[in-house]
Amino acid sequence: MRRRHLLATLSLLALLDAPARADDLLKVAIGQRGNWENSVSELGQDAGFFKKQGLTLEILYTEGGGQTQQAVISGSVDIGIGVGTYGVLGAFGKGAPVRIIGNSMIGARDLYWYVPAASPVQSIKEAGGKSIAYSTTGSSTDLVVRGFQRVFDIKLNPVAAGSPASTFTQTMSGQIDIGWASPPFGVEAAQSGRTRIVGRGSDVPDFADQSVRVMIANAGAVARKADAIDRYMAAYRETLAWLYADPAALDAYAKWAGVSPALALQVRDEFYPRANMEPDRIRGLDGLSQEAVGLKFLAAPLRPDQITTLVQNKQAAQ
Amino acid sequence: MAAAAGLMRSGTLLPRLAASVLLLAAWQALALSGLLFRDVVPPLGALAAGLWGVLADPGFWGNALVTGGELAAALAIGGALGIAAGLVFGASAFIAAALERWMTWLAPTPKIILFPVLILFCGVGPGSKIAMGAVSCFFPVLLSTAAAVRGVDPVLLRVARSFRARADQILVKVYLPAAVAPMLNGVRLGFGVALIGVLLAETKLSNQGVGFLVMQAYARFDMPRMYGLLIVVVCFAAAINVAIGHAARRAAAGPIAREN
Repeated sequence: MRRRHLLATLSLLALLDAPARADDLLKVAIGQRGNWENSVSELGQDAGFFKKQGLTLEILYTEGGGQTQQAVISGSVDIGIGVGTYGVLGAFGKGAPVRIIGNSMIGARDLYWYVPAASPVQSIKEAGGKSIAYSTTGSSTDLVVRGFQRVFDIKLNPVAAGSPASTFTQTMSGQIDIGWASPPFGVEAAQSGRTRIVGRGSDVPDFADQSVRVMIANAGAVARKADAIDRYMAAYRETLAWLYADPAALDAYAKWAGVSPALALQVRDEFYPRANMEPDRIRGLDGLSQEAVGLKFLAAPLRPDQITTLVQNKQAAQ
Repeated sequence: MAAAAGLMRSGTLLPRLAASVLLLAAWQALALSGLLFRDVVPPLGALAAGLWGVLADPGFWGNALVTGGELAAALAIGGALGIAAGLVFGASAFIAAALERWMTWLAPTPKIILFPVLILFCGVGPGSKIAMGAVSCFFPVLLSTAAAVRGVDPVLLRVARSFRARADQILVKVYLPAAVAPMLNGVRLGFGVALIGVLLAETKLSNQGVGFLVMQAYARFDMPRMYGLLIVVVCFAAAINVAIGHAARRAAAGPIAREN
């Protein structure tokens, strides 16, 4: 009788213990839902890759990288995806509790500049004196526009125009000569002949081997949830491999982003080479740190020991 | 029907209908004129299709429920606290003299600046959206309630005191019935700003709600859907506004008028 009671008590304790072994919860902030680069977490969760690692993601969408970084620094979320590297360097330099846990995007191949079909501008090279859009100061679009002027030796009139949607309105209504966008936004307009692409981020070779956007985490979360973040990165890698290998993944992306499968394929293969999205390829932080000083994000370049503290990615370190 | 009959009697139905038709005609003319970027000012047919697309989308109703729940919670919390504080401010000249000026200064402050703090205290989920709405609606409800309490006829208070009514009896039997109409008007104002607060918070950091849907539609430049969502929000706000206004008018008319 006593043994039966003991067994029943143990069974009850096991049941009560069940929630403690439930998935770890990670809060993830991401800007611009619909963007291929930003799709990995949600599609990976839907496909079960994060569940396999014992993780449940609470994904929250922001208006852009600046807000994503703010949410991470405040500790409201654990991880932020697609945050401009200069902003992260600047925040870290000022003592903000932020760490880079991975690369989001190397180079600026995903960014493109366009004009309305009737515009006389045929290429960025001959667009001297024209107004050209970028999103916000210090963003990757700002850097590319600065790069255009340097590479083509022209003087442009840069305008902070905000998101691709607000830029599209300003460009198509003639308020700005050259707009910027990131796929899949605006690709159909270019295909249908309403707009013409006149420049790409890849026209500026300086960024070809630089992580222009990174994955970040709150320093406290890195310390407290190191194991969960490692598992997040493992699931991220697995999801990325799936996205580039399985046609079903393209269909899932197309459905999620509200685009056709053909456009999804074009977006992936033309604008987002897999190698540029590898999370463990964190590139060019020394050079970016130097440039961040010129852009007044940093008072002085980060020292090697500071960069070691900033980057918390075991695979990249190996 | 009764409302339409009332409008007919007052002669305002025709001008209102004419203004609505004129507004729609002006929109359509502007959309077809080519003066403005057509994607931003779509013709009425595209707007109707966008609205239908929103209403026929089961996902919309789930998100509408989320926003509705957040709004109801925000109104309940902010409204209850506003009414309670307003009663205290209205009944106590000392507290009003000490603190009401602060409330008047804080009331017009854009509450969105508090959102990062609210995220810290209430998290990134619905809690921070409810808090945004509650903080937004607290101030207009408080100020209206305080003004309403001060407007209660002193004779009523003297009569109640002469009958040795307790404080809680004075509150329930005198203050609340006498001040309910202006208080409801305060709730009406509070509802408007609570709706703005909740929707604004949903556009900043979220994964559900009507504000989230609006931002997603805009990010894809799906303007007919975005306008469809805005039309639904405007209609919802107008319907609630009319309902509270009607309740306030009935309360102002008093039980005798209602019985007649």
